[in-house]
Amino acid sequence: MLPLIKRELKLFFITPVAYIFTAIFIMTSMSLTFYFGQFFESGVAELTTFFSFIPWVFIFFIPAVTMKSWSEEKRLGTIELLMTLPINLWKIVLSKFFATWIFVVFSIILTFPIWITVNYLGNPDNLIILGQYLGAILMAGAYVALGVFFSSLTNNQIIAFILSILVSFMFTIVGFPLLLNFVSGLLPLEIIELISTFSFLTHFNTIQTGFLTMKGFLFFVSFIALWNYLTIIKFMNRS
Amino acid sequence: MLEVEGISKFFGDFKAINNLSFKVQVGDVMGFLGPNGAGKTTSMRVITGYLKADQGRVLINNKNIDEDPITAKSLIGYLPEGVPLYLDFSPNLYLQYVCDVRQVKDPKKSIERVIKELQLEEVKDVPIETLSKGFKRRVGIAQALIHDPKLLILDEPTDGLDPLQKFEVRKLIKDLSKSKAIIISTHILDEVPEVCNKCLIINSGEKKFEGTPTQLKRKVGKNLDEKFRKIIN
Repeated sequence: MLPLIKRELKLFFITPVAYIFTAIFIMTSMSLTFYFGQFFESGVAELTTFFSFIPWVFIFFIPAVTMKSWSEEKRLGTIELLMTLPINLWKIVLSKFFATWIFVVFSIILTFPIWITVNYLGNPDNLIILGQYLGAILMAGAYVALGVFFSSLTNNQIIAFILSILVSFMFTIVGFPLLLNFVSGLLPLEIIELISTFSFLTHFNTIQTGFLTMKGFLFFVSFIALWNYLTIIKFMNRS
Repeated sequence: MLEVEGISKFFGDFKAINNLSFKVQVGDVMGFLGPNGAGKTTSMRVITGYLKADQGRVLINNKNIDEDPITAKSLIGYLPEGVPLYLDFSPNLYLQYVCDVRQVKDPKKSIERVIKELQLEEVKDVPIETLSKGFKRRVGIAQALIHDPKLLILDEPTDGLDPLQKFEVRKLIKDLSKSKAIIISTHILDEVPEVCNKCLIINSGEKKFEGTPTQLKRKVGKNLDEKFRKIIN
């Protein structure tokens, strides 16, 4: 499995695409924080504004990274070489997921200057920030697992990209207060609570306070497992 | 080495392979012939475990490809149709990856060996994307050979090569056949008597002829192309 992950990462970094992606990710998340989040004006030494924009950046950034993972193999035909290797299918599928996740984590880690900035300007609670980073990384894994699955459905990268954005958006937005308030008059409270438990935002919001709760942790881990499982099922029915 | 027992493959209502059986032993080079769309590529995909047969079974060294895919697949070297490769990699990097993933014992030596056998020395550090068709095909053959497989399956190995390269690849296949079972699919009929000691002609997924190239020659007329057309019709 390790050689497969290594190859995926090499393919990421062998072309400038990976560096451009990372740069765009950092620029977008930073400009959102500084311009729309009024990072300096708030006068508080914390990264909550930065992390509140992160899910929205992920919705676009992660599908752009995952879209080619399987689509490209299918288009080039290299999937035939991959699938005829003497390696278990689940390892092949997971290696793709982990490689993409590692790349996304690499991009997330490169936003560290903002962490240094708040430490320079004030005295933030660094444990909270660490928790927020871990939460963001975990949530990124969920978006990656979902994106990789949609990439496995088609050999067209654009279709994979759009489908992943749509579904990522749905899973993010179902817990958005605006939406929940809107439907709160229409549906029973229990249903609304049920829907919002499937939302990334609900779980990420609890994480944002800096406490990686067991509930949030389990949610994202099972979400990752589920979409990887779906990808494996997809390839088991090779016919 | 390879036993194919009554495999069939359907795509919806379309019968891509219909009850196909044959055997290949170490020392054999089997030419796999048939017009486009006859089911050659599908058969190769079933044998290598990329596709699952709807009926029948494939045994490689008595290991069923569906029941023990890991062992069976480790015995196969495969060049798929159209030579798919990671285009951003150089041949060297690519072969290194194949060694890693297949856990080849002495990667450096194996890479040197295939690079020499397929004359890739001058291009080994250039991105595959920029290589000519002939070089790409040779990289494809190199990755199929690197782990010294017992069964070699090559889908049109000489397609797109110039006459000199064709000659070299045929010579290589002959040399390799001493210790391996080899299947090559081809459109070029003249290639069959030159490299193969067995040939199998299929059409519409069904076996039309199985025998030696000499038998094939004896069976109909003088010209190979003519025989081919007769067998197909």
